[in-house]
Amino acid sequence: METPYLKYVNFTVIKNMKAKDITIKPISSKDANKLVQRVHYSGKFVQNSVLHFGVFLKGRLHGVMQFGNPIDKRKVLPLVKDTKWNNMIELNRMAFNDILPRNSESRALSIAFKLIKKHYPNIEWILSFSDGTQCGDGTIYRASGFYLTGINKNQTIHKLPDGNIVAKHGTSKIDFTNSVKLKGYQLRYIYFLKPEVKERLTVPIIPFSKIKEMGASMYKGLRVPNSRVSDDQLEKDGANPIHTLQN
Amino acid sequence: MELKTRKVSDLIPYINNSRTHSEEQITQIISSIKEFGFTNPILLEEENGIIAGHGRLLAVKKMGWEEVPCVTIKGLTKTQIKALNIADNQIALNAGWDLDKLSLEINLLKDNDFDLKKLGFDDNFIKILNEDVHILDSMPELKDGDKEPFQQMTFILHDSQIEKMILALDIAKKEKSDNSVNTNPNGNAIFEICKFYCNQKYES
Repeated sequence: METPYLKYVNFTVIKNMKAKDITIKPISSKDANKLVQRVHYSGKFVQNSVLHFGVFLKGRLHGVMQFGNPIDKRKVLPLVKDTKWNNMIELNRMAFNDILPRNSESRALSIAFKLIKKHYPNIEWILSFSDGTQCGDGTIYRASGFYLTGINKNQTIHKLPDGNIVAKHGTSKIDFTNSVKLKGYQLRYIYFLKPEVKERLTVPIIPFSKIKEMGASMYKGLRVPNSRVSDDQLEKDGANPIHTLQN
Repeated sequence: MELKTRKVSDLIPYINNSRTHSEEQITQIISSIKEFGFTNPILLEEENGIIAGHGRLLAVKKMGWEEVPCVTIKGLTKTQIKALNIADNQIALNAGWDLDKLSLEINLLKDNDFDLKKLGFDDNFIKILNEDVHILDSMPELKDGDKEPFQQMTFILHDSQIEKMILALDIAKKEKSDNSVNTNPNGNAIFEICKFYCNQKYES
């Protein structure tokens, strides 16, 4: 199965552009959602995102980072002791066009974190999850200074009988009858905007090597060899490899 | 099918060709040929009559070409040739555009300094597709501090339950209640009703 995005690979790298050429600006949710729907492997944006950064190259929007409240905020606050309700935010979505220069993601995150730190001094840490069932194990997060704090077997991402892949939460109104839970892992990462807050982390920091040990490795939608997720995952009850991520 | 370069002067336009070509479109075809080359040979029947490609012929004539790549199609009846002259155009017209993907592609072309005029779209259409992203003047306001100590609860009542509910709320509102932490009269009234109910239950 070919996606249009594969066609970009050979001809659309913008000439002589480097990661330092990208700019990051706050944009409206409408513009952000449109790009996420177009570019993110899930094709879905997160409703409760409240802060949207656009990633621009030569004045055009090519990427989006969406931040907002976690779905079950009460459960995640205790990850860092004494965290008040508005002391943390979740990086809900990252969607980048393939044409952005190498390392754009890390640079974009770094700039976004600086902006958050400057404008919202109450925010002390940032939570994010990488989807090791369909996308990746968090290469970008690791390169951006996040700490790995959880590797859990997927409990939420389901494939519905109609082929749609959706996350199952307590508030979900979707009918999950005959849905199949995707095999794979979800990895929880935390970034500390204030380094001293790390001392209040209530869960152990997991060495990155544990990802491989647990067989949770995934890169651009493909399982890394020796993954412990069973082989029937790839094309049967799991998600198909994400072509947009395999350039 | 036979692909062959033929003399422009040898080609015979179909007298009843119903497809029209404006000057503007011929200019677009010329521009396209200059950019991409002659990528779509003219379709001929066995006696050099044009089935499809009248616009391309006008373009190459205007460019002063003496020869042009053609494909001769054999074995069609005269009726089929007439039909193909129409179908070749109409079937192509029946295709649509995925505007999101088109917009993405056009923006990528623009970023690569490609002249968008060569795509054949109307300038206004390109402008709409290139709709600017609204950059916020400042960072949006986000809540600070701790969670507000208020929660909204929603109930669904049957028509037959409404009257009793309103009556109970009215009675409870008339009672003196503590509104030091919550100034919402309905919230306080429901709390008083619940407190009363719990006390009753607990005492019995």
